[in-house]
Amino acid sequence: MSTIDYEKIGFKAGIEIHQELETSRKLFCLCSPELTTDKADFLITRYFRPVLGELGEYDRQMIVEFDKDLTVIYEGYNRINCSYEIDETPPFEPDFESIDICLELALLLNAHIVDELHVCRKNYLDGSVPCGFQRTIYVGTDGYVPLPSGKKIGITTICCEEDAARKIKQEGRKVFYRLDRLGIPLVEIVTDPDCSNPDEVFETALRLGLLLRSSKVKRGIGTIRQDLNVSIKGGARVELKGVQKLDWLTKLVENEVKRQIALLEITNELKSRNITEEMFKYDFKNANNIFKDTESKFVKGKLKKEKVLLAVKLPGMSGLLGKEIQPGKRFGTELAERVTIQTGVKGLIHSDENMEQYGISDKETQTLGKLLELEKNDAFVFVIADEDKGSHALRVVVDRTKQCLEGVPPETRAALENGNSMFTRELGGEARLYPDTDTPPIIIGDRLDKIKKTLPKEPWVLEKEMAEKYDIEKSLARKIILSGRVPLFEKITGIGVSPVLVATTLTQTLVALRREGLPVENIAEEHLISIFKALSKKKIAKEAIDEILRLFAEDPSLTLEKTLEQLSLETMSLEDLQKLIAEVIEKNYDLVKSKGDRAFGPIMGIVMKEARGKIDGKIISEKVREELKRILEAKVN
Amino acid sequence: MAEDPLKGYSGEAKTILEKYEVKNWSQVVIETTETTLTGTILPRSELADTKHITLKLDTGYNIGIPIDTVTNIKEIGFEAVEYRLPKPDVVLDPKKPRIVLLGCGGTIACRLDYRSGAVIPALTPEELYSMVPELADIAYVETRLLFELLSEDMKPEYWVKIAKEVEKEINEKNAKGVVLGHGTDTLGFTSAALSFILKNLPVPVVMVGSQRSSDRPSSDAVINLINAVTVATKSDIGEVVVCMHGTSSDNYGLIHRGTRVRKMHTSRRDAFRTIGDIPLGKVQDGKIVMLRNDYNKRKEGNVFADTKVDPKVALIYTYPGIHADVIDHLVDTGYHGIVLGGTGLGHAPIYILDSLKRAIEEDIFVVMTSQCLFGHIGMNVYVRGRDLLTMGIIPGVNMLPETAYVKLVWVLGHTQNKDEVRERMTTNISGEIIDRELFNAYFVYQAETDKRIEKILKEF
Repeated sequence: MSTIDYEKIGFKAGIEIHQELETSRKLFCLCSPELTTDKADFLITRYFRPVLGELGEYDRQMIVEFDKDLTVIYEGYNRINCSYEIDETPPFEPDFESIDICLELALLLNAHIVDELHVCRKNYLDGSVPCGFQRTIYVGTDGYVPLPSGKKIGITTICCEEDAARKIKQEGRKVFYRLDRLGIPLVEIVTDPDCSNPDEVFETALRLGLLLRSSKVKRGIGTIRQDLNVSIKGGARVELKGVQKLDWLTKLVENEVKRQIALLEITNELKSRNITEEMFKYDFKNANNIFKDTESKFVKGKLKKEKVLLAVKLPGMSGLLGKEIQPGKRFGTELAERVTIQTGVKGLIHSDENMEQYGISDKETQTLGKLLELEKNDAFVFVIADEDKGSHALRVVVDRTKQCLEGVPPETRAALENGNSMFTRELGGEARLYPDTDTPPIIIGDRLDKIKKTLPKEPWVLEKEMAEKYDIEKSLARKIILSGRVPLFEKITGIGVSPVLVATTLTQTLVALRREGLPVENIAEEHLISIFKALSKKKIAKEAIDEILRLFAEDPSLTLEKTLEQLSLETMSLEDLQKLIAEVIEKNYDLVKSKGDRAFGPIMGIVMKEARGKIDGKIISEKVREELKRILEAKVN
Repeated sequence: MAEDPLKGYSGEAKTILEKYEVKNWSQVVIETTETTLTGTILPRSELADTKHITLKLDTGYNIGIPIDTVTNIKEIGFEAVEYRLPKPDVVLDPKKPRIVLLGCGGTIACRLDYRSGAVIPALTPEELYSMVPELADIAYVETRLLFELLSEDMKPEYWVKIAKEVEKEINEKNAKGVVLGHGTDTLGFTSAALSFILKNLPVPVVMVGSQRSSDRPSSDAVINLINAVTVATKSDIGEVVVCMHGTSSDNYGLIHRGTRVRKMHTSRRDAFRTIGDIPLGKVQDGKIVMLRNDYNKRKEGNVFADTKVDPKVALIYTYPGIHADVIDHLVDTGYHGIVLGGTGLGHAPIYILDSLKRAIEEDIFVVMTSQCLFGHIGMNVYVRGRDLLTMGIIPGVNMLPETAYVKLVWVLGHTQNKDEVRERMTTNISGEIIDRELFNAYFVYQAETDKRIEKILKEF
C-alpha cells in the first residue's frame, strides 16, 4: 500500500497554522509575552461546563470534553500573569500591533479583509483557556497562496487570536496547564482543502512558513504549530494536530489515508454483515463470577484492586477489532486509547486478541461469550475497573464502535512521531462560536491604508529578486528573508561590502555564535553597521568579524574602537607584514630548506597567529607565497 | 407587538437590508465589490454604527460588512434562533426537602443582548436548573422568576417585594430553605435589607450570584448554585446569608452574614468578603463547616416580613473638597436621613459642618460610618469627632456604610422619633454591629490559603 493513488481516493487536505507574533504585550492584557520554567507562584483549580453556541445549540466537542470529567489546575506567575489570564478581569483593548501584523499577512495572502472586526469566543472545554474560550478576531477570508507550480491554494480564514495555556502534565483526571503562554498573540491561517497530494501539502506548508517567518513573528521551538486537515472520498475531515517538523508531513498524511481507508473497509464489512445501529446496546454484564477462580494472573491481579470485570457485546465486530488501521495499530488499540483518554480506564481487552497471553482459558472465553449471548461475527470487550468508571469506559467503546457504521468520525488527533496519530477530542464545529460580549466591534478604517503603503513583497518573489540583484544564491537570499533581516541586509550592502559576506554574517555567523550559547540578541543593528563600515574602509579584515561579534554579544555597551583595542586589532601595514614574514622564515630557515614549497602551511600558520584579523588573510597568503618563492629561488641560485 | 425583524439595524444598514428583503436570521449570499460571502444575518447592536451588516459566516465567525461595498444580497434560507437551554432532564424527588429558587436577574442569569452587544439577565431559573442538574440530587428545588433586573437597578421597593415572596414561600408553601439569585453589584444591600425585614426566620435564606455569566464554560454560577442550595437544604442557619466563591479556584464557598458582607472586587469570583469578622461558615462538595456558633438557628414557626421602609435616605462619601451644597440639596429636597461614609474614625471636613448642622436642625437623621470599612468609628478621639457628636450626628458604631444606609431606610419606615431612631441605629438588630472585633477578622482569614499570606508576610 506504499503507493496510494491520491486522485482515485478523492484525497483532500488543508493546513492550519498557528504562529505566535512578536509583540510587546499579550493580545488582551498588558502582560509580557514570555515563557518561563520557574516554579509556579500560585495554583488555581477550575471546572468547566458546556454552554450553548450563539445559534442555541450545544457543540459536540464540548459535550465529549465534559464527559472526560477533568479537574483543571493552572500554574500562575506574579511576574508575567495578571488577573485577566486567570479569568478574573474582563479583557483590555486588543493589541493593535498584533492586529496590524495579521492584516499585513492577510494582504500578502491576497485575502478579503474584514472591515469591521468582531471578537469571537471559540469555546474549549479541555481547560487550555481558563475562561473556557479563546478570543479570536477574524480579519480575512477568501485569499490564496500560490505554489511554485502555479496552483493556488485557497485561504479560508486568517484570524488574530490568543494562544492557549501550555499543557504541562496530566495526573489521572487532573490536568495541569501553565499560564505563561496564554494570551500571546497568534495568527491562525487556515487553507481550503485544496491540496490533492502530500507534495502539495508540503509545498503549501513551506510557503506559508516562509511567509510567516518573513514577518514579525516569534522564532524557536513551539512558536509555530501546524495542523493538517485530511479527508478522502467517503471519509471525513480529520484534524492532525501538532506537526512539529515538515518532514513528518508525508508520513502522517499517508498513515491517515490508510486509517480512513481501513475504517471505510470496516464500515462496508459491517454493512455486509447486516449490522444496524439498534444492535449496539449499553448492556454491560458483570462477569466476576466467571473469573472468580481464574488462573489468569492479569485478571486476578486487577480484580484484587478493582471491583468488577465488566463486559459488553460488540455486534458484528469479530475480526474487525484486530484489523490493522495504521502500521502496527489495530482498531482495538484505537478503542483502548480512546477509553483511556475519555475515562482514565486502562487495560481494555477485546476478543480479537490472543487470550492465552493473558492466561485466560478457552472455557472462560466461552462462558463469557454465553453470558453476552454472542453469535457468529460478534465480538466482546471487557475492562476491569470501578463500576462507574467501567460503565463509562464501555459506553465510550459502544459509542465509538457504533460510529463505524457511519465510516470515519470527524475528530482531532495528535500527530505522533512514528507517523501515526491518536484521538484527542471531537472536532469543534461552528456551534462552539459565540460573540465576545466583553468587547465592542473594531473598525479597521485607515489602518489598512497605512499597512498597504509599507507592504513587503511576498518572500518567494523577494528571494528571486534578491538573488538576481545581489548575485547571490537563492537559498542564501531565503536565509536572509527567514532571519527577518532583509532591510538590514540592504542597508549594509549599501555601504559597499560584498553581499555574500553580509549575508553569511547575518545568517550563518550569527547562528553559529548563538549555538555556542552567546547572547547574540545583544548584537544590535548599529553594531553590525559599525563593523561593516570599518571593513569597507579597510580598518579591519573580514577575519576579525567573528571575534568582534563575540565581544559585542557579551558587552553591547562597547564601541567598535573598544573591541579593536581589546583584540589589539590595529591594522598591519604591508611593510610590517613583509617584515614579519621575513622574520618568521629566517627563524624557521631549516624547515624551509628541508620542505621547500611544502613549508607554506606551517609558515602561514605562524604568521597568521600574529597577523590574524589585522590584515586580509588573502594578502597574507599571497605575501607568504611570494617571500617563500624568493627565498627558495635564491637558494637555488 | 411582534419583534422587529431587523432588530438593532437602523439608518442605511436597515435600508439596504429592506431593499433586498432579508431580515435577522436570514441565511444569505452577500456579494460585495471584493468577494462573495455566505452566512446568517445577525441582529446588530443598537450601539454600533449604521454602516455595517453583522454576518455570521458558515465557519461560525462574525464579521461586519460595510454596506457601501454590498452589490447584492440573496436569501437562501431562514431559521429564527432562540437561545434557550433545553428543558431540564432531571427527575425531582418529592421526598427531598423543598427548596425554592427565586430569580432576580443578575450575571448568574445572563446571556448575550443583541441590543447592546453586552450581557443582560435573561435566563429563567428553570434554565439555570437545566444548567446545573446536580441540584436535583440535593433537594426538591422549585424555581420561579421574580424580576429580570440588572443589579444596579435594584431599589427598596423591590426589597419589599422579594421579602413578601420569601414570606409566602416559607409560611404558605413550607419551603425548607430559600435561594435567591441576584446580581452581585448590589447583592450586599439586598442581603442587609432582607436581614432587617425578615423577622423570626425559621429557615435559611441564601443569596447567591455569579461573577462570570452563565453563558461561559468557566462560569462560577454552577458551583455557587450548588453551594447555595446545599446551605439552604442542609445548614442549621435561620438567617439571611450570602454564599459565594471563597477563592478564585472552584473549591469552597463561604457563607457570609447578610449584614456584614461586601463586594470587594469588581470582577473576581471571590469578590464577596465578610468585613471586620470571620465568615459564618464554609461549604464544599455538599459539606458545610460552620466557623462560628453565634448565628440564629433553623427552627419551626413562621417568618414575618416587616416591610415598612422609607426610601428618602441618601448615602454620601465625604472627601477632600466636598461641597456643602451636596448636603444642602438633600435638605432642600426633603430627605429624611443621610448616612455619611466619613473619613478615618468618622470625620467630615469643616466646610460642610454648617450644612450638617442645618440638616440635623431640620430633623434629618445623619448617621456617621467610616469609608475605611474595617474598624469602629471613634468620634471621641479627635476634636472634630466631638464637634460632630455634639451637633447630634448618630455614630454608626462599626456598621458598613451600605448596611447603615439600608438600616436607616428600614428604621425610618418604622419611626421618625429622635430617640428611637438613635437607639435603633446604635443597637445591634441583625448582626450588623460587632461588639468584639477579633484579631483575625482583618482580611487574613478569607485569603486564598493562610500559607500564602504567611509567605507574603515573610517576604516583606
